[in-house]
Amino acid sequence: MIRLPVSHAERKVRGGKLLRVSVDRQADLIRSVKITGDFFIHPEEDLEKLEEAARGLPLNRPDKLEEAFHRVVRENGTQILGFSIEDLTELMREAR
Amino acid sequence: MSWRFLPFSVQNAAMNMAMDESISLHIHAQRSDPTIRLYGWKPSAVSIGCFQSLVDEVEVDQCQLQGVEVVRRRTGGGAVYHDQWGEITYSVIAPESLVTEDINQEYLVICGKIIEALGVLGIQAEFHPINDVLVRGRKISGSAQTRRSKVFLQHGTIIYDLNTEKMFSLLKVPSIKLSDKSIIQAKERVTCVRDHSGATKDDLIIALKSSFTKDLEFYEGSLTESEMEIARELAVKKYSNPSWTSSR
Repeated sequence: MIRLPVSHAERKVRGGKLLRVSVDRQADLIRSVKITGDFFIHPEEDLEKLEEAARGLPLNRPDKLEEAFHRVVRENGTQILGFSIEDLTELMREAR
Repeated sequence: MSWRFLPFSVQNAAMNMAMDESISLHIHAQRSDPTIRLYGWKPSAVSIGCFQSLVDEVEVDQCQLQGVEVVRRRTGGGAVYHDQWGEITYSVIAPESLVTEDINQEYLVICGKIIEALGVLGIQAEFHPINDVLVRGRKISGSAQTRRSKVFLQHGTIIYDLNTEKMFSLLKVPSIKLSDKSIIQAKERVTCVRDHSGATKDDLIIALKSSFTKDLEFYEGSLTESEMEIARELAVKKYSNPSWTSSR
């Protein structure tokens, strides 16, 4: 199987919005992730905080990813309309 | 508290988005009244949500070929085709204290005004969370909201007339495997006023003005000199700037 340096995955969340991730990885570590789609995040700046939180984390530890994302939401009072943290984490695993 | 109503006017994509932001800034500075705008887009344009990837959502080459402008909004949500003749956009811009605290609830409230206006035209529409208005299961209106610096902005589109061939030549159909079936499905998910009513575009504008200003103390106005100046600057420096448009 050819492993590409940037992996993509997308999902139309049931009852939600389209969520896309592009994961730039080095071996099993996340170098960076780009999260795009037609969802809403309030405040909008928190999307970058979510992306930043994933940096350097292992792709094979979804629990750590989820924890990092939840921390962003908790610390910033982020409201996400259109996907859940679980959707995001699952999608990043699919992008492997 | 008196609201300012800006009657239907037509601008290009960058200016439309710049006007929304300029008004928001002036409301934040307490220099402008809460505002309701109705507007059109000339030339036709595609607007994308602030979290969308430009190349994933828009056939940029086709837009260029067809003279359709592309702009990135400061609100989230999806890619929208604003046809010069077939579409009306609204904006509601106000201090956050004047609207419901609950984001979802406010979508319901404002979409309710669109539904009421469509009802006047004999169209039975319904709210579809998070942010859509449907007629018989097909989307006729979508909206997007932001609340920055305690200023609420919600803007959205109401499709008066629809050319699905044109729309789907400009917007990418989100599908892992592109097929004829998925394009057909996409076309069947949208509708327009003309499909359901003999009302004119002016009838729609009048009905929207009426439902949006109902129960409000309001006056008809225009952008102030300061708002126009800031809007012109934003149109050039931000909304026409490829680094903003291609930022994702």
